[in-house]
Amino acid sequence: MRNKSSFAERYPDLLAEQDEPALRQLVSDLETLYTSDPLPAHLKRSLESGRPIVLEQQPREPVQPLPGTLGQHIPRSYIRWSRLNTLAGALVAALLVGILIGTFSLLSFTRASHPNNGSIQRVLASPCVSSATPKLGVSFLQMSDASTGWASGTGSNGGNSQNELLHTDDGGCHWKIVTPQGFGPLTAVIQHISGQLFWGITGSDAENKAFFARTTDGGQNWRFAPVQTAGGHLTSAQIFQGSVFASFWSATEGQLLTVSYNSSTGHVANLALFHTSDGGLNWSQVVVDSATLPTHGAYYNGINFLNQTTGWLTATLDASAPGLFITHDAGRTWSQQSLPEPLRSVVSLKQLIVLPPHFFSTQEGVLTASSWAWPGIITYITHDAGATWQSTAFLRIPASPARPGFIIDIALPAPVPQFTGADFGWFWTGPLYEPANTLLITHNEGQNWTALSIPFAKDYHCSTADFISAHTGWLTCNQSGTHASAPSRLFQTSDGGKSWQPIEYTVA
Amino acid sequence: MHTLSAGERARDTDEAELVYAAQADASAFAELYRRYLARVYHYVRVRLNDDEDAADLTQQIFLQALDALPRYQPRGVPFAAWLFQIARHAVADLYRRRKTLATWDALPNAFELQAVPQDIEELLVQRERLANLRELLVRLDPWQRELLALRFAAGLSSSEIAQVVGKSHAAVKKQLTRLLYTLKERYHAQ
Repeated sequence: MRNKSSFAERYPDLLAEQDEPALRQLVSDLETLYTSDPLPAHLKRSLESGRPIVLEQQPREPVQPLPGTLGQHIPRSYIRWSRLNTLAGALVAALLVGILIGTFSLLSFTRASHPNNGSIQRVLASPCVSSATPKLGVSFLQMSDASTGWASGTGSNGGNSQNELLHTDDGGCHWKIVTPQGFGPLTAVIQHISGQLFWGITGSDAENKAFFARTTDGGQNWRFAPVQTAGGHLTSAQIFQGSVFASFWSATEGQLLTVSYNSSTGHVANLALFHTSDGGLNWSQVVVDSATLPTHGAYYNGINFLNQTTGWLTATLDASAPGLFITHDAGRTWSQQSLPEPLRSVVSLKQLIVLPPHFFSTQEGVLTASSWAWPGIITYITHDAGATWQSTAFLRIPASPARPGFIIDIALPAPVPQFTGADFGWFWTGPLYEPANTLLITHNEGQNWTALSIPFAKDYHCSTADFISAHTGWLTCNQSGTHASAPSRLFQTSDGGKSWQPIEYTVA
Repeated sequence: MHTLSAGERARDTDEAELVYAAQADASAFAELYRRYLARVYHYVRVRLNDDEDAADLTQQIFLQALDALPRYQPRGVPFAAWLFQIARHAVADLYRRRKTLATWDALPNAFELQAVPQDIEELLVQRERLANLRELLVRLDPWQRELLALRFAAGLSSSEIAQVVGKSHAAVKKQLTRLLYTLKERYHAQ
């Protein structure tokens, strides 16, 4: 058991100001529970030599050398925007993973139904000419069209991690650092709406003031506007310590939601909604009827407005129903919207964690949810502007084959499907789900999913994918065996995944 | 931006010295190994339902760390965070390749306590309390259990956890605090 130094010494960062007997008891018991297992004898013996022993006999299941190195696991405090906000919300809300016992697979992956599957996939020559190693790695890219898009640029500068906002005008061959200067980090970047227009939130710690940042020329010029509240202005502390979500339904009109929580109780301390009609230069606070939204046992994870009056808020609730709330009066009042039970599914409605809906038109859209009881996702479809939702079948994703449900284990980020329209959606399974490192695509709003394997996935750890259509998409990957600081590789397909071209990009 | 406490700075400086030494001479890795062996083992053990598997994987994690150590930069990510990134990846990778089903039984057995309470009554009370705590942990979602494992099995600070999982320190600290307070309320309400 760990050396029992004083409580304050062991937990200076967490409990210094809240040292109380009940909490001490809990922490002490947690410590006991987690560290009571004694070291096996041979591990104890290895302490004497001070290095790992070479096992003389094979373990029952040999532990293979780990593929790759640390590249994909060095944390990246990446720039977040709308979809990433969704993902972060999903992470925080702990979407994921449940009991893998059982044999149901209500919707299996198909490999033959898509014309791309079964064909030999090729890797073509790069359309870009560059032999230099880029100084930053491109990740989390979001392309607006075949030419223009945005990405997070990560790397190391003198031992310190570097995170920048990048923009490209030539399909990803050349990326330009366009991080706005003079303020704090652009840590809560919210949304881009086109190849040139980008919104984010930043803050000035010196002024303790949050600013809405906006560019309309691909990041060459930025405008910053404080967000006025009823009592002053939004603070940088609220931005950096709470949750921020935004939804724009046009180039000028949008809503901004900030939520903060009481660190002791976990209850919502403040929930504020703001509206802009001039692209974020001026904001007015919407008076929300707080009685219409839960503040206890709720963790908000997203917002999306279809138009000026109708929008949705989603949250993880300590309740028996998904946290889906709808407004018809621009956010002043909210009501919980019901969803039908998942179609032919082992998952029940109360086990779902929903994410904000995504609309393809004024009438059509999808809403995705994951289950905390079973690893997988489900898509709800609307054809009447979100008035009603139809369930698709639950897509069970065998998250790591031995995914235990009742074990203290790792948290896997739930795959979050993205859609370019009703005819195409996708998500990347990553290394922790089965089939691993695979693109799953749908052409019918999530009713059926098709696995599209990537031929070079075995040599790379691909992390993010982005598509602008059923044909054109990108993958960002780290080559196995490279160090964390090595720039990521970028691949593009223009034929729906039949062939992939490496993009030999530069970052300037 | 998270500011390290004086204690964290001193420890990181100390560990940076150890890392530099180990990078120059692999035999100097011994001190880091001794320092982290139990923490890595406990972290791995709560995810695998077998002592020996956990021990094997622990060894592999240190071998991986030793192999990657020349490329590690102490000024970037603290050694503890870097090491547990390897551990986290190793566990995830093992899950991916194995077909076995681990269960909640993989929890460290709270009934075989190493530090035996003074009397039988105290032991029984502690057993019951820990059993109740296990029941509460069952109801947590995987992310919350991950936070607790990194905190109590791995013994990481919230800033180190933030670097392991790639989240902001403020977010991790907030989530951990909220989680502990929620658990406390449930724990003492039982």
